[in-house]
Parts: sequence; structure tokens; C-alpha cells
Amino acid sequence: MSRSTSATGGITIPEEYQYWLSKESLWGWLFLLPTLAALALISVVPILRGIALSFYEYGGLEEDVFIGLENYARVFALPDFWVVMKNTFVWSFTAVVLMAMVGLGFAILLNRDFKGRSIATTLLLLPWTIPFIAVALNWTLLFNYELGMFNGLLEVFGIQGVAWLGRSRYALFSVTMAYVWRNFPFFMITFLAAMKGIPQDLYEAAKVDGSTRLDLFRHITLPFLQPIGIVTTLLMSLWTLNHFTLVFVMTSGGPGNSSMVLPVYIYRQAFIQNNFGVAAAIAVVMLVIMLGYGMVYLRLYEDEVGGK
Amino acid sequence: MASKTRDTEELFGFEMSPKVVTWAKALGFHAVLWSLVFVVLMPVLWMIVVSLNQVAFDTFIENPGVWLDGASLDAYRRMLYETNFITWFGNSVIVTVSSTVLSIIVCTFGAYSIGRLRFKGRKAVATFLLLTQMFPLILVAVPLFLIFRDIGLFNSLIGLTIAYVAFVLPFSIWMLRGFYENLPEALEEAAMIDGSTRIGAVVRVIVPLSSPAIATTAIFAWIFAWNEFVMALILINDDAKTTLPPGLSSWIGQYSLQWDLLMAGALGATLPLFIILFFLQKYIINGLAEGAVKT
Repeated sequence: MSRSTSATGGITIPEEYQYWLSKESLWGWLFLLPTLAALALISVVPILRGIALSFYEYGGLEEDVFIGLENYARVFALPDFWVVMKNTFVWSFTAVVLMAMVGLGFAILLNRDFKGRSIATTLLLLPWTIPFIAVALNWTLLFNYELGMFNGLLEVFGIQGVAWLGRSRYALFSVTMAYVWRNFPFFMITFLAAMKGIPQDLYEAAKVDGSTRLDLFRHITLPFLQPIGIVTTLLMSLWTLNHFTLVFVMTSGGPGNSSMVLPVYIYRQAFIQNNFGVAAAIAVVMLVIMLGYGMVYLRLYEDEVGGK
Repeated sequence: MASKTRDTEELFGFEMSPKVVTWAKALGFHAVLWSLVFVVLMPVLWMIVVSLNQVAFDTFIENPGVWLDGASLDAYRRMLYETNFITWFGNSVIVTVSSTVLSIIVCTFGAYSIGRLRFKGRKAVATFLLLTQMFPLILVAVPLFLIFRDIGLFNSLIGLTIAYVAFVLPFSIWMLRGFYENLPEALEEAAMIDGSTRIGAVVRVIVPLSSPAIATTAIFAWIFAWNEFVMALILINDDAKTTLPPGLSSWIGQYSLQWDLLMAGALGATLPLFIILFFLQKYIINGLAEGAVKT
């Protein structure tokens, strides 16, 4: 503080302005500048443009025409829209719950000392390193009616196979399975990392008190996993809501709209139907849902997330 | 120990020595674990099997010999010489490497600022970064297409790279910030007393100390860019300029019955990430433990 006054040649600077001249704040903003510039160009400007677009009739080469809330009225009148909303919700919820459960299960298995532990961890992490496009091709084959692994396995037990991706009843669920397989390791490693941070003497003390394994898990392990579990669940739900590749490649949302989710639907509205205004309106609805979900979630778990 | 023997007596109706119990438990554990690992890896194994010789699952189970007789690397040869695979792979490498390098540089300073400097607006920026995670990617992608078209970044790998940098930044900064907050205070002050500038202190003291955490963010940036599909699909229109994900997805219609080729392509796209996993696995696990966990 004293240095900033002397640097101005003896002129006294009012207390409240001195702060802004302090080096820490200057460096702080300077270091953030590239980040903020990149985010402004790639996130903020496009989003504002998208919100604006949702109030216009997209004219292509001609001028866009302002039509107020007309696009939103169109969206809510689309019968597909509500099917897609339901699918998106079902898909995200099922996927996140299954990933968390499978991830936790494997984390518990891996969280002990045994020979081959690091090999097992690496092998179980492997699906997470496979690009979604490869997962999509891989699982399209696994679900294939004639050549697929699932129908092949069913046949071993004498059960007639199904066209997993071709039947509206199974399509979304099949894509969900592929997604869960690809992403459960993320939950697994975050849970495993959190388990490493639990002091072992807590377990020892509880064991002396005669606690059972289940007690240990419920009263020591779970509470320790909660903060990381909450953050991971939030991130993963947002990522899942955003997910595009598997649905687009495996089913393109079909048959009919039975496996259509919001991102793919918006893409089709914009680039297949050339309906940029309607696409933008649906995307804004999606923004509201995701922001709302994120805010409520953070508010509910403020303490666990650290409240920073 | 006494209680353990009683357990087995209740369970099996006869008493077992503690040694046998421990041994049987370990055996059971390994049996369960490794069969689960096998189940998880089956899709990958099947991908390899089919890429070598296209075969139906039940035929393979009944008579693997038939599969073995016809196994060859022909699908890989076709992939390399008769398709655009190498071009797409090259484009993916260009975009992934440049966006990873750029994002590390930008995010190191950004995370340092939020994690270690005390200034007004710091919390607001941190909250804003978290908020950007709640933006639908597709809401950004559609207008970005219009913007890039107007400013001439459409159909260019540079445009795609810039978009990827901006997309990984919030998560990378969030992760690295946690690590920086845990470093002892006054680290860089010591360096600055020795005559370094603030930037010099960051580069010479903070970066070396945080290299494991930076490696973690680099891996995440790499995985993001290598995987990214929608942006590449929307922002690139030219088959020779596209990356692997949209490129390979076009094969589904084009080579729909050539599963050996499709699986070879899928494995080819996976290879760079496999390699990363095997060499840098500890950074993924430790990095998550130290950064993301401590939000």
C-alpha cells in the first residue's frame, strides 16, 4: 500500500482507490485476461447471439425478422418436444445413477491392498479412455441383431435376440448402457481418490468398538465420499445432458423419436430443418433447465461443496 | 480371530483354520474382481476380434478356429490406404495438441490468479467459471457456426482449436485452482524477493511445483479435444479438414456392413488415448485426488 502512494509522487490517493492500484489485483486481472477473452468470444458472445436468435425468424441470406416469442410458442406446440424432454430426463437420470453405483462398487473393490491392484485399476479405467465415437461404433456392433454380442449371449441361453437399437422400446436404454460403460470409471477414480483420503485409524477405532463392515461403510466411508460425490454428480449430470455423440451415431434419435435427446434434437432443427430460430429457442429452454438444475443443486449442497 | 472361526462355523457348519479362511476369502475376492474386469473389457476384446476377422458372436464361441483361420490385418490395410483415416487422424492430432498446449498456458495463469492472488472479483470469476459448465454446448455451437461463418473461421482447424481451448478452460482452471490453494503461502514471495517478477515467480517456482497437476489438466484437455464431436461436425464442412469423430461417423452409412473396417477405425482412434492411460495413469488418479476433490 505504502509503495503505491510513493509511486504517485507524494499525491495521496484515497483509500478506496488504492486497492485497485495494488499489484495483486493488477496481476490477478492480467493473468485472467486470456481466459476471459477466450470465454467471451466462444461462450458469452455466442450465447447472447443464440438468445437473440430465439426471438427472430432466421432468414438465411436475407435479414432476420423479429417475431417476439413466436419461436417459443412453436416449440411448446411441437408434439416431439415433450417426448424429447422426457427422454432427456430419463436418459440423464438413469445414466448418472447407474454410473455412480457401478463406479462406487468398483471403487470399494479396488480400495484394499492386493496383488495386481494397479493393473486392475488401469484395466477398469480403460473404457473411459475410449473416444465416444469408438464406443458408438463398438456398441452399435454389440447391439447388432445378427452379429452382436448381446444377442449371441442370449442365444447361448436359448433366448431369442432383439434388434436393440431398432426397437423404440430398447433404443434409449441401449444407448444408456453404452454411455454408462464408457463413463463409470470417472466416478470410480474420483471415489477411489476420496477413499484414499480417509484416515485409516478411524476404521481401526470403529472395529475395536465392534462395528460391522456395513457400519464402517455407512458411518465412515459414505460421509467422506459425500462432498466429492456431490461435485462429481453435478458435473456428470451436466455433461450427460450435453452429450451428443452416442445418440447421434447409434440411433440418430430413432426409431421415430424414441431415443431423441435435446442436443441432437436442437442440432437437427438447426442444420437439417434449417430452423435456426426454433433451434435457438429450444437451446435457451435447455439453458434455463441446466442453470436451474445447477443452481438448485449447488444451493442444496452449499456446505459440502465448500461454499466458496 | 476367535470370532472369525465362529463365523465360518455358523456359515459352513464346520470350523476352518484362520489361515484357510484368509486364503479362501482372497481367492473369492480375486475370482469376483477379475471376472468383473473381464466383463468390463469384453466390448474392447470383441472390437479387436472383429477387426481381425468379421465374425458373429455365436460362431466365434462355437468354433474359434474358423475365426483364427481367416484372421488378417486386411481391415487395417484398407483403413490406411483406401479411406481418409490418416487425414482425419492428422487433423485430430493437430487440433488436440495445439488446443492442449494453449489451454495449459492460459489455464496455469488463470488458475494461479484465482487460486493464489487476493483481489476483488476473484470469487465472481470463479462462480462464472462454474456457471459456464451449465451452458448447453449446443446453445453455443449453433450461433458459433453463424459467427465463425461471418468472420471466416468456419471450416478451419484454427477456429476449432480456439473453440476447444475455451471449452476446456473452466474445468481445467477449477481443477488446478484447488491444487494452488493448497501450496504453502509465500512461496513465490520468496522468489520475488530474490528479484524475480511475478511472471518469473510463477514460471520458475509455481509451474515446476505444480507440474503433476498441470499434467492432469493436460490429460483432460487432450481427452476432451480428441473426443469432441458436435463442434467439429458443425464448424467443419470439408471431409479433408474434419477430425476423427465426425469422419468415422460417416462410415456407418458408407461401410455399414464392413464391421471389420469400422472396428479397425474405432481402435485406431482409441490408440492415442490408450497410450496416454498407460504412461500417465498416476496423474489422472493423483490429480483428481488433489485438485478436483478439494473444491
